[in-house]
Amino acid sequence: MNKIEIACIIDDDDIYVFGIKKLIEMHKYCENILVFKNGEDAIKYLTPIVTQTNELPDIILLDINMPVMDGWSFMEEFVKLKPQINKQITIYMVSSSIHDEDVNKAKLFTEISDYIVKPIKSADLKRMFVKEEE
Amino acid sequence: MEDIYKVILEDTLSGYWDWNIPEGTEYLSPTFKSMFGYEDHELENSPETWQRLIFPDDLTVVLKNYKEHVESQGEIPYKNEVRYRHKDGSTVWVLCTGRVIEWDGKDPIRMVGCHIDITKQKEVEKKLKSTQELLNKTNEAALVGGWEVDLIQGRVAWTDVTKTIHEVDKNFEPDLESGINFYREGESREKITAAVEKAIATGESFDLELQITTAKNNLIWIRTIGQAEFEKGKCVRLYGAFQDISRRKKAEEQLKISEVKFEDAFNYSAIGMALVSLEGKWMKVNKRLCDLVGYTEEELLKITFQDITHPDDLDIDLENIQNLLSDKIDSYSMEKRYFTKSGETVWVLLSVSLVRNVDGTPQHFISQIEDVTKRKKAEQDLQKAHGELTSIFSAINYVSVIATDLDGTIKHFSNGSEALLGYTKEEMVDVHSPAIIHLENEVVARGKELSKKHGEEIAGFDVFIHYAKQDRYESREWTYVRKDGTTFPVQLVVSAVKNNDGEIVGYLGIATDISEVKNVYHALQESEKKFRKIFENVQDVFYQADYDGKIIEISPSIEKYSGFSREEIIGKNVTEFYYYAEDREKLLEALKESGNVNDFEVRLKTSSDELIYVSVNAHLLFDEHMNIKGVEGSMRDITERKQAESLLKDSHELLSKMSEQLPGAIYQYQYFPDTGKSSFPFASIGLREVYEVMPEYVKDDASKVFERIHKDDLEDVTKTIEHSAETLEDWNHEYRVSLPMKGIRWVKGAARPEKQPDDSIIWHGYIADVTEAKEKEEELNNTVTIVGEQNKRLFNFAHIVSHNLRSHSGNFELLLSLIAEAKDESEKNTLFDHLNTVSKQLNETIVHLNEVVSIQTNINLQQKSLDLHQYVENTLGILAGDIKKKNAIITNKIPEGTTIKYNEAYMESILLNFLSNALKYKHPDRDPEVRINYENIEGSPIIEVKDNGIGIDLNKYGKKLFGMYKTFHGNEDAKGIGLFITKNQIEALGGKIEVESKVGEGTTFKIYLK
Repeated sequence: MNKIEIACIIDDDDIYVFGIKKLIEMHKYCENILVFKNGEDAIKYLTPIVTQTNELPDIILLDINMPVMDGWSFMEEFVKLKPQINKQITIYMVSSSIHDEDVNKAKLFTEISDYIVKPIKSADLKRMFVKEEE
Repeated sequence: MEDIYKVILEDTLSGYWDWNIPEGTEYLSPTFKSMFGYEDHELENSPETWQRLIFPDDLTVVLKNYKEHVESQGEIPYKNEVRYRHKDGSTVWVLCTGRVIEWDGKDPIRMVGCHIDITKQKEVEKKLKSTQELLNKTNEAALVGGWEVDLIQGRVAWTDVTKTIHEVDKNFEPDLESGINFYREGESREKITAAVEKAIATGESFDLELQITTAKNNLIWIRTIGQAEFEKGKCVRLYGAFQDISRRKKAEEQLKISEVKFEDAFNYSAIGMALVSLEGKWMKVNKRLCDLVGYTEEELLKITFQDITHPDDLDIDLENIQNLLSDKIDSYSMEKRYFTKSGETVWVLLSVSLVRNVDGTPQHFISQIEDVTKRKKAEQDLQKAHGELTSIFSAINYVSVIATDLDGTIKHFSNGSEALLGYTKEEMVDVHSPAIIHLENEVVARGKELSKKHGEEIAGFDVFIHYAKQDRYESREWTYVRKDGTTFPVQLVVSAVKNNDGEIVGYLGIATDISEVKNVYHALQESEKKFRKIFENVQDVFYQADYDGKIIEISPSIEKYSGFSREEIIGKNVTEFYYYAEDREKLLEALKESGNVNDFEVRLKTSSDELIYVSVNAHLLFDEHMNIKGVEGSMRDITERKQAESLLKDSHELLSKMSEQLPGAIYQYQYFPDTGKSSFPFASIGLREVYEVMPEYVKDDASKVFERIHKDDLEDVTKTIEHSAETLEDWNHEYRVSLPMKGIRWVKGAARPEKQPDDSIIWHGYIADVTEAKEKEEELNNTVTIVGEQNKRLFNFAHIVSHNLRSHSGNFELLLSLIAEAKDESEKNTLFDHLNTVSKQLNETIVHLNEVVSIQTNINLQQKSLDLHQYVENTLGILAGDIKKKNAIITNKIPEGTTIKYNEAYMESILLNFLSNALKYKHPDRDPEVRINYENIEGSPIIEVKDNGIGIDLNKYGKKLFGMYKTFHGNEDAKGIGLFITKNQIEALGGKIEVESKVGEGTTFKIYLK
């Protein structure tokens, strides 16, 4: 199961979501993409299916600044869910913020694999998705 | 023609000559010849004739002139003043002129000329010249100048000296008038004018002492001597000498003054003075002498000194005078008696000296006459009393009265003498001299002493009577030897016995047995010895020194102080032991002033030359005649005390110097808890800066300092002091003082308390003005706040830039890359639509940022009075549609007419934001109810907006509530900008927002406008 079956995008920026979906489709990295407008929506979706490994995304692209529940709050909630999850979920922090504070904060979460600064380039996507295939 | 001229020429006074040069013949006219004393026939007519008569020196001159005349073809004139020898041997001066009148080409053929006798003129000239030379030479040395007035030529000449005296330049050319004008106007000028006129008229010479005013305006005395020279009854010339006599005049004046002075001294002298002729006549007498003898001056001048001299004294006086006149003595003094006019006798001391002429001839006597009557009378009275005493003492046993004749043979041996000495009158009178009752060695020693003192051999009986002979008493101690060989001390007074005429006829020795006195003295010495034993064991050192400073006695304990033993010191002079000689002088001065000194500090020297301080108590010792005999006293080593004092002084000086440099004040504060009284026993000058109180004003009472403490802080200060007093913990306090000059200042004090035996507490502390530090601290705090705020805003702004703007640019980039890869037109169109959206969003963000930036940079926002109630109503009007749609109930509780000063635009924005939020976040289950309240707490208006909406989870979102782009409800129209902007606006105008909220129940915003 090296192929990324399910990717998850949590971001309130419609344009970004549109663009990233378009890129993924173009490169045929993944066929199932879940999109949530904020952290709360994502948590609400994931919580009931934590044990259904097949339903869970393989990769999450998480924004920081979002209304209602931002990326950090999502991570706090996700950490709580994690013990029940029996699947390797790679989380990328994807944000417009180039602030050190945010970059450093991301490092505090072992669950976060990397911090990607928007805009996402094709190369970044390839690294995130193709790497998984190997 | 020639003959006629010849006749004329020969009749004139001039001589005439005519020389035929080629022939060598020369005609010499008779006048020519007579000029030299020869008859015509006596001299041959030839050039040799005159060449023989002319002076050889002058011949050379003449020939030279002839040669020049010829060679110049007559251009150079032939003219000479030459000398010829007269027949009688005298010199004849001739003015010789001539000319060649015939030429043979360049050779002279005939030359003619004439001789004029100028001898007289020459003689005058020569005389003048020589006198002048002589005058100049001699007179320059004597500063005697010469002058001459030539009345014929109207010429005046002054020698250099004369010019110098006039203080004119050497080139000065005087004339008669200017010469006269130098004389001082008035007497001097009149006299010289008259003298000159008279000299010219009559030839009378003059010699005057007059004053001139020199060219440099000095008025001086001169002597001018003038002589007239007459020729043929007419004055032709005045000449004379001129001399500066200012100095002489001055000397004369001084002499006059000194004469006056002498006169004064003579007249007003306190003793009688007189000039007496050689015969004894009073020539000049002063007032004092007149008073003395009771005669008037006129009366006295008519008589001689012999007339008023006591006959008994006259012979000696006259003998003395003879000795003076015969040059045996220079002067003499004697005591003699004068009779006054009223017949009384006055005793005088007469001193006479002789005044002689320059040639030694005696002129007169100068006498000084001093009245000694009183002294004489006193002497006589004394003698009389002495005589009386003699008779009294002879009756008394313990007094020995022995009289001798001039040779020393005992003539009287009183009863007392018998009793004291064991001899009888018979044994002694006419038999022995007093030597028998004296110790020989005492007499010899005394004799040596006297001999040395007076420079003459005094021995034997003279030892006793040396002073008595001179009419003086002598009283001294002697040892008398009794007949049995035993001795006893006596005080012996020896005096002369005189007859009625005052002649010494014998001597009287009165001796008093002083054994008793001596015994007492010995007893005293014994007790002293005992006493010394006592003081040897005392710290204090007793000492005794004689008048010259020789140490007679000192306690052995001195060795402890000085290292010198008693033996080393006794006999030495005290000066040797002073470290500073001036100390002794000061001590003596103090002693002489009051007779004693107490605790007088002097600095002495130890045997190792170290300095020790000694306190001296001393008093003078007197002998029986009340003469200072010496000094006695005690001293105590106070070196340690002095060193401690000096150390203390040094450290005190150091401290006060240091404390003066301190920015604050160091002080000692004493507080008595029972009475509440306090003072500053010491405070450095810095107290003046800190409290504006001089330290001396609070030395005894601290209240002046407490008056300065700020009324709001006084209680705290008092409490902290009391606390420190109770607990004896250090006192540290910072408080305000209210100063008359500097106003309110912050001071900070720190002090350490110490409990005193009298239960008072003394703090040693330091206090300083910390106003500046305080101000800086506050300033720093403010700065920190401001910087913090600004940092926050900067952070926000940076965040906005990095996040929001970047997210838009990120989207642009993303979309553009997709467009590049788009496969068909419709796909591209979709992407362009998206680009358009991103562009709009970017624009919106920029507008928001602009708003934020403008709030943060608007420092001075215009404010005006706003009707708050009305503003709320207006806002509700704007929101009317929304209110109706949501069926909201809005209650404006702001009292009508409430006005506040605020910025219009901000107020609109704030109200709109809160009210629209209240509607926006309504509870889904109920209609919104919003109340707008108002209160004013101490001038700060507060608007309260209370809704019954969904509420905010402040635990979760409290911090982020007012952040930019923070939304919490997932509302579609929530932008997360409203509260951020509102908060910024409120804070920009100095206000703040508080929020209370409960999820599900509602939210209350409190807006503190200022």
